[in-house]
Amino acid sequence: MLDAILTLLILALAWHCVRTTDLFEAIVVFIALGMLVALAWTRLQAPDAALAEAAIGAGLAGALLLASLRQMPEMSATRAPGAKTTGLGWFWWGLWGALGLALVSGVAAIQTTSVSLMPQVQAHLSDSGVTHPVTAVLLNFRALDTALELAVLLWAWMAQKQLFVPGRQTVYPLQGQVLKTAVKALLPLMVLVAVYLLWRGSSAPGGAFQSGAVLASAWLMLWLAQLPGLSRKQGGMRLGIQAGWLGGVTVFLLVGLLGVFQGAGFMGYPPDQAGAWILLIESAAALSIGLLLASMVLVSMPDFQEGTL
Amino acid sequence: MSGLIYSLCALGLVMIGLYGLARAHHGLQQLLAINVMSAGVFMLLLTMAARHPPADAVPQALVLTGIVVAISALALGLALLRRLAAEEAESHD
Amino acid sequence: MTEWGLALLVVWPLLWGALTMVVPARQVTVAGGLAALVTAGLGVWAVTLSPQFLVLGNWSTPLGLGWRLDGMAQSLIGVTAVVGGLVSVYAWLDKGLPPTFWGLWLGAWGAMNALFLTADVFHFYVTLELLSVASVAMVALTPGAGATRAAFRYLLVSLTGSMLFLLGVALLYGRYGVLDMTLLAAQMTPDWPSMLAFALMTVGLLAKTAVFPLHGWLPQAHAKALTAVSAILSALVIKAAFYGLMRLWLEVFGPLATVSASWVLGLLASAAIFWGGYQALKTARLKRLVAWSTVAQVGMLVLALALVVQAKAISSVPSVHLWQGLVWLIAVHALAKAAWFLAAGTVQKRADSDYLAQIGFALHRSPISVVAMALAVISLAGLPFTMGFLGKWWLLSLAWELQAWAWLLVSLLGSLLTMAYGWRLLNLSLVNRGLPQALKPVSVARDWVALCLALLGVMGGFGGHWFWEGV
Repeated sequence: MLDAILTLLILALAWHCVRTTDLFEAIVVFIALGMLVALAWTRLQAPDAALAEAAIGAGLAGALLLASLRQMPEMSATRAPGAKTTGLGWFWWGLWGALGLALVSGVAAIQTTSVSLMPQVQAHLSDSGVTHPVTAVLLNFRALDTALELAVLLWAWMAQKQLFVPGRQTVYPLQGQVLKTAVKALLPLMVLVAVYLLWRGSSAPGGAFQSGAVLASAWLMLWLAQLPGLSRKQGGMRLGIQAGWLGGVTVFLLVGLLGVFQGAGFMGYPPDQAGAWILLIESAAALSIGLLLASMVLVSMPDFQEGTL
Repeated sequence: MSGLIYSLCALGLVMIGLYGLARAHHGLQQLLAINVMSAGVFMLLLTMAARHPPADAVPQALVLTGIVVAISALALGLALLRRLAAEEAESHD
Repeated sequence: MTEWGLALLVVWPLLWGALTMVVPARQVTVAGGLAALVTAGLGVWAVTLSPQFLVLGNWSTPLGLGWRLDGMAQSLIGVTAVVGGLVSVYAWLDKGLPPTFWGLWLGAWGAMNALFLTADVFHFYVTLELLSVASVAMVALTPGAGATRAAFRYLLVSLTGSMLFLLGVALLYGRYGVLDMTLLAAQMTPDWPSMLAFALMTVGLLAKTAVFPLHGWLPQAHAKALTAVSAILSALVIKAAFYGLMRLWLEVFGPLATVSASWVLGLLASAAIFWGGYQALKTARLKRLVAWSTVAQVGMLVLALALVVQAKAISSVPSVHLWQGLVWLIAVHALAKAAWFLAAGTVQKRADSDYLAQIGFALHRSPISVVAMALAVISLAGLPFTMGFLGKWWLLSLAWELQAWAWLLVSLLGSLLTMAYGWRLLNLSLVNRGLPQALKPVSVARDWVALCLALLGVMGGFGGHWFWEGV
């Protein structure tokens, strides 16, 4: 019953999100949609994915969208390239309907198929260095997937740095002693949560992604409250931030090369050392993910000036 | 049973995303539509994982990877739109 | 040793690409350029290895990620190395190129090498996304709203294509429970979910390869990009997506790739050949002409794929040299198109104009680039004594054996169209050169790089014996 209601709500929100012509509304609905989707994923026994979707797919994506919206022209001013002004013609509706039916029947046909890699994962879990299967897949069995996905994040950031236009608007900074005190109190807590999530990832849902998302919000809070910290242009800090951006990919790939040296194969670890290497990689990855995501949100702020990063 | 419901939900998101992509007027709407679609694709992978207990860890790991890829692409798309807005504002000045 | 080399093929460009973010701006060109040359060396070296399959981290498939170095992967890595190396030299000579180019380009190169090696459908998706992000960013290196809009459109098409591909991957996993291409190929049964996955993944990759009618993003993106970037995108990046199509049609979905399915490909390909050729004949701008020619040439590649699929489906035809022919055509197009774009960019720079009506004199004063363009055109059109001739000969004889008269005719007409729009440029340089005008100074070394690529595309024909007999 709950599942049916949730499904209907998700579909209704999604429909509204793509139908509405008010961009602000569309974004707010999109964030709500992300939260409900995350809820649905916990029902599908996927707590890792649900956590990541809530934090990244809804939270940070929402921040990015809202910050960018303020720098964009109104709906009427830009016409999306190649966009149609009227609704869909009957031909496209027909195609759309046919595809939908084809997909439903295709998925229905494999609804009860029992194929899975889980037995394989479980059989090799003891050699993976961690006890949580999802982490074992991400950091060990399919490590190059994760390394290249960190590369996607880094290259997307490289592109955004290059596309950067200095903000033109003045946004009044959030001020007040209460805020600063609150952030100062919250910050250690958030770092603690991030470290806990990272550590927990080896045996239970959690890990570099979720931890990175928490770090990103911590850094953003620091910046929004205008506290001296990572966001200032100080020689040492600047170097630290740059190292943080690159850290995830470089540490991962270098450890991967070390695997060749140790005879464990490219992107492999000797089983007795796997746990330690994975922890090292995850720490670098969490820091990278946090810094990169926060940097992406920061440069999208309407009042962001070059040189702060 | 709940598996089937969520499969339908996933496909619904994919189809709504495709529809939104076709009728979008603004670049932001196009990006949102693609993200609705990707949420659907990820959910489909998760329903595949949840067909028989214990839940299959491989598709769950793929979804985590996919989420990070999706936000990277979204951030890049938004940066392009911001740049475009600035360039167009400049040419109108 | 081998494993080191293969690992470095991916790790080296990615690490250096990442490091360019912290290298001081003045040294980026040196660091990036040297890193690119080493990558090219690694790629050429990979061609000399014996074919092998290895699973990363010493796991075994289906749990681990498989890397497969077979003839097809080796050839593509080698083509990317040669063309990428020479384009890097050109980029080094181009002082107007922003330093961020090097990080993006090395990232794209690492992504392509990983893409050619991987035997895993999901990993293929990840490499494709890395490649797209880097490519879109490279298009956006050009200042101005036009290029940004083209880059955004490219991103949208690319993302939609990736999502369709991933939807297919989800269906495949749901049906077979594995992601490894060789294992999927071994289990493939022509049932409904598999057919659906086949269709979705094909459409996704057709969009990324810019096959008609999903080509709309290409002329803008490739024509607006900076010269070195245009060459990389047209010669290499779309080949990566086409490589995916080859893997799907010839390997993963083997039993589903029937003669009737190949007709769909053939029809799309024919439309692409005619439409791309027509637009190239009509356009008033130089780089647009070269970009439309890519649309037509991609059609030629897809037509060849359709013929190979037919040949594989009809067992009575001797199935020799099937993928070899496709790879040969890819190499022909990569060399010729890179040469053509680089030469066109040099001329455009000299004339300070992209309009055909205004470049006549610059063409006349760039004889080396004109020779490069002419050689590129005759190789693309498949005239004798070129690499393209061997490719065209292979294509025509395959069509002959299959008695596919329609495709035979289309491929001949395609060659005629290529010569027709190629002649437009030569005509400008030889006959209607226009009035003398002041030209911008551009290093003649850049003309020579284009000529090197074009000459390789011609002389490769003499290496044909070794390639066709050797593999």
